[in-house]
Amino acid sequence: MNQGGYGNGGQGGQGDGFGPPQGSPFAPPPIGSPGQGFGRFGKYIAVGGLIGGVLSSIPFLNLLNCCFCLLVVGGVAGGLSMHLSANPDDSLTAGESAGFGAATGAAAGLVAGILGTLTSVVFSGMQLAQLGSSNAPPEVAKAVALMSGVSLIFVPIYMVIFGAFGALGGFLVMEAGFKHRLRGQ
Amino acid sequence: MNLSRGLRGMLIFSGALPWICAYFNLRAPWLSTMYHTLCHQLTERTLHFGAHPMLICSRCAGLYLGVAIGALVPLAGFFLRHARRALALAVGATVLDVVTQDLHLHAPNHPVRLATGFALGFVASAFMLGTILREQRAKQKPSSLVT
Repeated sequence: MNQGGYGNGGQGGQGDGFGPPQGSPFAPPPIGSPGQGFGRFGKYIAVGGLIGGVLSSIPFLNLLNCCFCLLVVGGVAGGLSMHLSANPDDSLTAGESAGFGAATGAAAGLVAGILGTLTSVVFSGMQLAQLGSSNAPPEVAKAVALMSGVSLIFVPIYMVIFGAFGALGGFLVMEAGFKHRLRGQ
Repeated sequence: MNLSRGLRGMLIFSGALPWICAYFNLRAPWLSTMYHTLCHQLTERTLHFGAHPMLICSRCAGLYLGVAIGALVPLAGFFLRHARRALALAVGATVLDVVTQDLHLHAPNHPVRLATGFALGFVASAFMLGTILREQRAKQKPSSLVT
């Protein structure tokens, strides 16, 4: 895409316009090229992960994750669309979109796992308080406390599972919704 | 190549985990709780290994298996060129089965649930990895435009 006669805009740098050649020190950086790095997605990965993770921690709403991790894919789609609307000249490769989705999904898994653990600790505390007042055997209290601690194991597993479905979501969202912004197709 | 390897690892681990748990009869309460946010786990819609139900329903089991196998066998050539149509077909078949089943037009049918889930997971996973691998191969090729 030639942006304002600059040339070598964003579609692979084929020298399709005016302006200094690609190798020249005066040439603009190729937009959306791998040289810009994955770091350009950082803010949007965090936002998408937060959206996906918080939504996945809301009881009943998180049942939507039964359908292809829909909330995680929604977070990925939100992050991707924010990035693409904030950077109208940027384009992504299929690998970048999948990587974006994987990172956003992993972030969503981290957020969902931590929020789930916090919820579990709060509910366990309430249960333990009730058990303490009802003189329940200590084994029961121990089991309740153990269950809240065990939910910490969910964090890395959720990060991998949400990351995998986030990668699929990122790739499919680009294919379905932003195909014109895919590079190398 | 690192990106595709990392993604492949994630997909295989995620896809194989519920099947590994079923094979080794791992049914700790925390595992069941963990999958509770990823699947409805209704008993009548769940496959049983012997007397023990899997951690996820049969459609999810098919989907996860498809994702893992799709990561092992990425699409290429003819199949990659027609992957979008295959994906649309897999989504259509899954939605049709979900709708007809939830409208009580037929009872939950494990082979159909397993097959539609598998098709969706396999095509999505194999399509994604096939496209990424094709992209990486194209990047490695020396450019014919440079003289």
